[in-house]
Amino acid sequence: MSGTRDPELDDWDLSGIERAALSEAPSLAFLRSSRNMLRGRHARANRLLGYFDLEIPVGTLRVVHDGALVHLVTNAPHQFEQRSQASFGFEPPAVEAPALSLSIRRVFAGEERAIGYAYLDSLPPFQQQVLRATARIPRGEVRPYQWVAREAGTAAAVRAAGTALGHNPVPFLVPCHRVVRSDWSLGKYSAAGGPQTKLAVLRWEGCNIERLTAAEAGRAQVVGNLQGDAFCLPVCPRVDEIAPGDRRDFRRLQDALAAGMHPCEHCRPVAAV
Amino acid sequence: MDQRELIRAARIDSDAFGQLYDQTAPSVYRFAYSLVRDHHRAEDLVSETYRRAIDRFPAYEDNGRPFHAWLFTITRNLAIDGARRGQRESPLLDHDTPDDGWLGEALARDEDSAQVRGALGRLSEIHREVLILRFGHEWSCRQVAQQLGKSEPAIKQMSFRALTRLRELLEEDGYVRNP
Repeated sequence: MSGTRDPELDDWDLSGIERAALSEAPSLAFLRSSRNMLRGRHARANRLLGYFDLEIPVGTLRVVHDGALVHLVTNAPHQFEQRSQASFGFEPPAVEAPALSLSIRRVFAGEERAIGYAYLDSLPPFQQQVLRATARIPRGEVRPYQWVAREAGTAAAVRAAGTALGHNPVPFLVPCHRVVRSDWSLGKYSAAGGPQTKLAVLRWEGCNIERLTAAEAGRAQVVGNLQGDAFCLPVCPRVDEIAPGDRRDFRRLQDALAAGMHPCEHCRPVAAV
Repeated sequence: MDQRELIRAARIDSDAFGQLYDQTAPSVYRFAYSLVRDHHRAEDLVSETYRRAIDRFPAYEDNGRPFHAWLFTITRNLAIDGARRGQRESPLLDHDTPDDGWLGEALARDEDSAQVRGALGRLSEIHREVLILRFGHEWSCRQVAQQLGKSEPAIKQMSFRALTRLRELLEEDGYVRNP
């Protein structure tokens, strides 16, 4: 991978032909992800997309798919024709895809990763990065826009991350509803129903809304646990485990670091934890 | 379904296109890698080759030329374009000399390590991936462990088992090892 050869590799005594066969082979991970991405592109180019409707407790979702990947999700079926024309240049017909529908339900249940089912290849690279980072927020939890921007590799681009999320073609699947403002208020939501829908989805996912409301009232950037010396985002589930006497709120993350505390490995309030 | 039928079906069927990709992508990758000698760039080249193939699919005519030869031509043109744009040196791309023999050579070269590839294809997916990443792409044990969600000792052990198994399979095929 890098310029200098790993000396350990010589211990294995590979023959020239073995080495040649292995060194020119593609990784399976690449083949798999590239296959789905290209299959999605092929489906779009040849107008082979279809849709099915999926009932969830907060309403009906219309899901546009190619049989393997999801290209569009909307909770506003009455605008479907318009959205489809704008996104694909045609209106996909109804096509059931039982296996995919089941997989999406598993993603909603937190049993599978959303990113394996979302077609993002038509989006700008930055938006793809933002959506990939968003898909790593666990079900039932929230993270601030800054966190997403940082995870996407551009900590300074907080507003751009917000815009990228506002144009998420696959809401609900890639959980942009789990991203909140840095003052811990809910913020905007681009799907039909706006912030009310955002709140309803978070409730459905089992997000602790009281913790979120308390974070908004408390205005702390991070919360430290004096037992164990770790600090968390105030919306981290681990905050609930802090005994009242051991809790210390910090307005600024730097103050927690200066106090010698280390960042929580679950909510990752600092990069590279 | 033979490849000719598959190519016809792939014009209107995503699953057929997926199968066509499965059949051709490994050899397109090997060809791309032979041109650029870098796995990241080879991956980009492969993706770009199929993107262009999708756009130009209606233009593909079955005139007896193998389908992957058509893909190889796209890959080679893309690599030449990349080199012209001055991305980086491409040692194997001598595009000043017009050579009509390159395609035949490329197709022949593709057969060279076929025996090892055949045995590789009979390993379990995880063993194959460990061998390819560790010994082929020369990732460190740690990188392979992270990618596959395993511990480093587990990857070391798997590397040993996978290589042993690969050599057993080669021996069964009557392959004489010649280091």
